[in-house]
Amino acid sequence: MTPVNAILMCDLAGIVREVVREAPFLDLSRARGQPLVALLDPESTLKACAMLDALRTTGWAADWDLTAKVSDALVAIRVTGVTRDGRSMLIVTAPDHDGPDLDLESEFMDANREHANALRALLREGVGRRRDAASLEHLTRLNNEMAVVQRDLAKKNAELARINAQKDTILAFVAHDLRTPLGAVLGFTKLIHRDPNQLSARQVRFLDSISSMTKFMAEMVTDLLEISALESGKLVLDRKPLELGELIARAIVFNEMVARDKGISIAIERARGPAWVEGDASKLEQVMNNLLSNAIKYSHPGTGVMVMVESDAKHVCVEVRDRGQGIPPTELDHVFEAFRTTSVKATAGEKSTGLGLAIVKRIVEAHQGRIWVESEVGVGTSFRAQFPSCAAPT
Amino acid sequence: MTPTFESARRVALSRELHARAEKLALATVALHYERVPALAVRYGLAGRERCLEDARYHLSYLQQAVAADSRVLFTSYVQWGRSMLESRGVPVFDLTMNLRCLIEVLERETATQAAVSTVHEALLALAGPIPETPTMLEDGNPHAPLAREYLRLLLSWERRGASQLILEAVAAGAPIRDMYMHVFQPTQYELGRLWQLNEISIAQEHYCTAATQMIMSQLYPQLFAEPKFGRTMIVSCVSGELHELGARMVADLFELDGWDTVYFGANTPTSALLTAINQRQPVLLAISATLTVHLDRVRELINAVRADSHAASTTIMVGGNCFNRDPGLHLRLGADAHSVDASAAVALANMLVEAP
Repeated sequence: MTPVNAILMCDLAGIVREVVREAPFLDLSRARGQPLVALLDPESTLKACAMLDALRTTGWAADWDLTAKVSDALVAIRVTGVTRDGRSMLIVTAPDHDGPDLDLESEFMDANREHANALRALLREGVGRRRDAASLEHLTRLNNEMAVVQRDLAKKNAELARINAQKDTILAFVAHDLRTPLGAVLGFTKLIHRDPNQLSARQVRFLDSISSMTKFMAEMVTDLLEISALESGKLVLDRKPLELGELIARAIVFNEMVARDKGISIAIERARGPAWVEGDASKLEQVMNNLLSNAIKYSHPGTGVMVMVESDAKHVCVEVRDRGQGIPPTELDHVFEAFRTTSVKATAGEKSTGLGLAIVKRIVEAHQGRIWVESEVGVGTSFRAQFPSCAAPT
Repeated sequence: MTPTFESARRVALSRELHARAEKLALATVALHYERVPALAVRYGLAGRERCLEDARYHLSYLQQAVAADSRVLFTSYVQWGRSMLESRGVPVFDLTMNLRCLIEVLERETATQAAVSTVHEALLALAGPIPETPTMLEDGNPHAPLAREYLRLLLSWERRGASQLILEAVAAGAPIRDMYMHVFQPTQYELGRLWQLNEISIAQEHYCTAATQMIMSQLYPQLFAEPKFGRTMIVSCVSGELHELGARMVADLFELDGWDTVYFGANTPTSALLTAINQRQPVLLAISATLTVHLDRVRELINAVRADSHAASTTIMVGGNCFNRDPGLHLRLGADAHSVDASAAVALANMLVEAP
């Protein structure tokens, strides 16, 4: 059981002005208006004066052991107090019953008066000062260590950003320098094909291999240049209002021959009205070509690819859906990351640079659009891109 | 630099004081209470415990001052103590009496004159006027209004407002270096002064320092984006040092000047620091210590670097409050240079590095 402690208010001269709370171990019935020392054993007078002096000069006094006089008996008491605006608040406890630790917080719960409130914070600060000093030191050490880690991280971040920028520069440089010789290889391959001297079937097969591999390398170089330009924020869009249905129809024509070779059909379902977006035509064509060629790459012969365009007042949405193999759920989150290829194999062994969808995502986002994928293994995959719509040009 | 016979003798003497500190502190307090019996009545048991704590402090400062042959360190500690106690209502007589008792005990219990004369000199200084600690937020500071507003916000527990103030000033073109030298540094000095004068609590001082640490880290994206020119330096606090803001300011200003910096807080073992020196081959090692009681550790750290054949030739610069009080102290500890603040450290380092 928490013992009840007495609470007194005194003035700076040490006269008791108010008994806020009585306690069973003291007789405070006539305390009001009396000097505090009158309640004490004369042996304690000097010490009590020293305590009052401390209250006056430092504003607080903690755990002073004094002796009180109750009738003719002597009672050991422990006094803790604070001073503010010329008033001291004293808490008197009986140390024998209370033990050394006085819970001042709960002590003041009952003394919920205006002046008590004003003193409460101060008292807590004063008495807890020594305990707080140790906690503060711990906190400061912790904070210092965190500051060291924070500085290290900030510095490493800056270094990473520098290295990343360096990587983009190297990438663009290398890709640019590869493009020229690849162009020459392709050109010469064509010239050999046209050579009037009869080539053997074996030589023709080799030339076809050289040609297809070189084309893939050229495609990769183009993608690398594109992604490095996008990463370093060099993508500049030439945006004009354009009707997305028309653009998609053109992209379908462009991809139809490859699809037909694999026995895959492409169908389009256009929105009822025109679907206007403000976009860079060549970049959006690149997006559509990539989504369509992917759909064709991963579709089984004899199936169809469906393209749907929908629009409302705010958005235009394009969906490219295939009935191919589908992407496993664990890989779905990474399909838009550069250099991440999935475990799904193209149905006719076509190659992939691993950059196409990363480029697509960045272009869509540069148009304030968003792109996402849904897929089910064995059923097919659907890519959806959404763009803000715009008014038709007048 | 190899320690001379005289400095080795002083270090040995200081170790002896350290080994016997508890006994000397107890004897000093006993003598003090014997001379002034009223103390027991005035302060009670708790007061005696505090008196003992103070005596231990006196002895640890004395021990460092003796080892570093720097009486001024002990004198400035005692003057600081006097102003701190006076602002908290404790009469200066208690301090002088305690020091007189300390002298008696030292004369009785030890065979050294160096410690006794150091305390004597401090007592003489106590008889004179207290040196004023001027505010650093006055004229001469090109960002004085900003610094004053910054301090006001911190003292009102408004760290977000303080952060916004600095970030806006930097966005408007104020150099980060200026924020460090003309806002953060004088604010920290002012906080120390206000605490000494009992105008702010220790909690407030810690809060403001932590807030400044946070605000400094908000400037890091800009600070670390500065181009580098290939010189490396390492900054380290000595172990146990709580005051690490100054050292961090030094590291950051070097970074702003194009140096590659490695910053070690007060928690780094000497072996880790030596490994870093061997790996990074810095042009400069900067060591920071604020409190005189940490001078031993500075000396040990310098000796460890000098004893490591790969690290020995590293230029060592020291900084911190205790070095600012005694201009020759750094040489006696074996360092090559001393700078009064972060800005001076950068200028001095560039001069040292570029010297033929």
